[in-house]
Amino acid sequence: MTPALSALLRGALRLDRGADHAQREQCLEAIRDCVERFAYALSMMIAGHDAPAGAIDPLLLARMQGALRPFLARGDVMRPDFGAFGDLRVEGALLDAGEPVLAVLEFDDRCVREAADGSLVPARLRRLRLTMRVELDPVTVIDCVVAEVLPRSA
Amino acid sequence: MLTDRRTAHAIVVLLDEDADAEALARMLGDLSADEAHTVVCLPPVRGMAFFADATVQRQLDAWWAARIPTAAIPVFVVDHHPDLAQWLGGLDASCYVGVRSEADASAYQGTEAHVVVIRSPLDYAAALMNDLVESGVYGQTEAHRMRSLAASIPDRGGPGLDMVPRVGQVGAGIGPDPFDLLIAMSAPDRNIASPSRRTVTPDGGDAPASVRRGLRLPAWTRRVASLAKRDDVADRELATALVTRGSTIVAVGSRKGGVGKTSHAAGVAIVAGAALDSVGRCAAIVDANIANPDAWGQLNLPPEAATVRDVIAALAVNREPPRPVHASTPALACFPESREASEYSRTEIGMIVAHLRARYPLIVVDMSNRLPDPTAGPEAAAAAFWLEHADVLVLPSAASKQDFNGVLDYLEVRDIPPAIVASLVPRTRRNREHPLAKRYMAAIAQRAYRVVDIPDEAERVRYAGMEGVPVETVSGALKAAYRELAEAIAAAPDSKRR
Repeated sequence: MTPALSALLRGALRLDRGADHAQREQCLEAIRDCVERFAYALSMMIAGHDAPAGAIDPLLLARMQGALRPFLARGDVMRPDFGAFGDLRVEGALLDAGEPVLAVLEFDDRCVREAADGSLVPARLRRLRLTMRVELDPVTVIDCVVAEVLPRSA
Repeated sequence: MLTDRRTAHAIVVLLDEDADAEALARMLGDLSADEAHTVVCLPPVRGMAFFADATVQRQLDAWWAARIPTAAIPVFVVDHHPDLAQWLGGLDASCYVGVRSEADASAYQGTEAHVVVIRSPLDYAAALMNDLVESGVYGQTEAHRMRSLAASIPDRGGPGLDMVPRVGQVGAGIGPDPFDLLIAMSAPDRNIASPSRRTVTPDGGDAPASVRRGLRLPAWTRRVASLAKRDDVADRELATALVTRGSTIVAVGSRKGGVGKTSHAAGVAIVAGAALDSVGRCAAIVDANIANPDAWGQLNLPPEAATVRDVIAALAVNREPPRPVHASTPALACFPESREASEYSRTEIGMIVAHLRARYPLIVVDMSNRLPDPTAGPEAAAAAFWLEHADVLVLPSAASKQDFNGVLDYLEVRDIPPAIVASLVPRTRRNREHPLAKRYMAAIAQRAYRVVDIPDEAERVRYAGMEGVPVETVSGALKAAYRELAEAIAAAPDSKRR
């Protein structure tokens, strides 16, 4: 292989990698946006409002609404406060739109319960983890597992 | 409207429970793969009354004519009722009846009803979608997924349509925590991470790795919090006044301790924070009481909270300061002080002021029990440096000679901003109307911009401290007083603004 051809190939490879990188960044942005909308929808639900459509698969939405019914049925609502920042980790093949990726969001539950009688009860100040399966085309959360993050010493 | 020749279906949801009926109808409508040939609707009357109540039949006839396409096959979804079976014979429709026991199911022998053993509304959806896949009303994938989901709901073994048992009971009278319910929904054996999943490195390739990103969440938090039930109009007016005024630093100072300085600082910050929440903004409270930094117990801050010293240290080396913790009340960023804090320079205070002003419309600073003086030790110096930046000064006062004199001394300090005296109103009339107290208050009122009465609710404040809740939640009178104080701050002249 001549030095000129070798240089050309290296350049072409770099271009390919650059395009992949751009696509991956774009995908990450879309996932980040989807997770934010999902978290927003979740906060709407615990606040006793309808969740906005879009970021959540309807089946998952129905399941979550059903799960929350015993809480909302008492007339209680939450004033959602998940802290100022969440920690988002994305795992998966971002260049393969056919396979869902995994998004893990951790945040602090600082919500305040507003009981039906108007009294306010602060939450337990714990850290929660949402593990979400995110479909990429269109970007939608199709499944979610909620868990409490225990302190490392525990 | 249903237009072409394919068989159309009209799914009529007749479940008794409003929430279940609405959720099921919405779900079936959203998941339909053939919207042109499917309508899902909720009639004005449901349950047995739909069939048996003669008084509503004319209303239902009109509804039916308006909503159900003539050529559509009706599909009823209805809860079991002891008398329902007799109404199903001769119906020109499919009917899905939800039962909870074999005894209930036996009532439908000999009818063409589809009997569904239900634990949740998802069971209705699973059965119906499964049957309508061949008709093209629902996709195979969605139907399969619905079956899986319906099967994953644990059986409570009791009546009612709640999907999960109540968990996380905090105590008598307090219902389940919503996140506990969602954790229960996420059965422990469910692992949604696929073991075969490939991960990507930031620079490409398929090597196992993950991408970690920070995610900023405050916007929706505030939007939702603003939708919660509360005194919206008053909150919005106060918030608008505060935001219109521009970033305001409120120094809460006193020459002596024990006058409720920290309680008042927290109270006004909480009320203002809740109001600012309604317009998507946030208030901040700063502990500048370097001699007694433990006084913030009532805000229930976690021990790992970033302190004023941490923020200043980061700003000094041009690093992004640690994010503040938020108190149990939303929209209130808290900056506590560390026990190691000894003193601050004018420059350091200037740095944190600039940092806070860029972020919060209202910053409440709980100062030390010293008259401000840059040359009289660290506490007095810190008070002086903060006061140089303050737009409003709040001076708490109890009804004693020492307290009155303390306020008057503070009001003599040069170049102070407009001062609002938060005057603790004695509980006994004898003290309230004592001639000496009146003379003192008259002198204070002459020098201060405004005097706001604060009810003496010491018992309730102590109770709030024991319960770990903000003081404003245990006393309506206190809350009203703190709101008045916040309104006075918002209305204070800005002649001192730098």
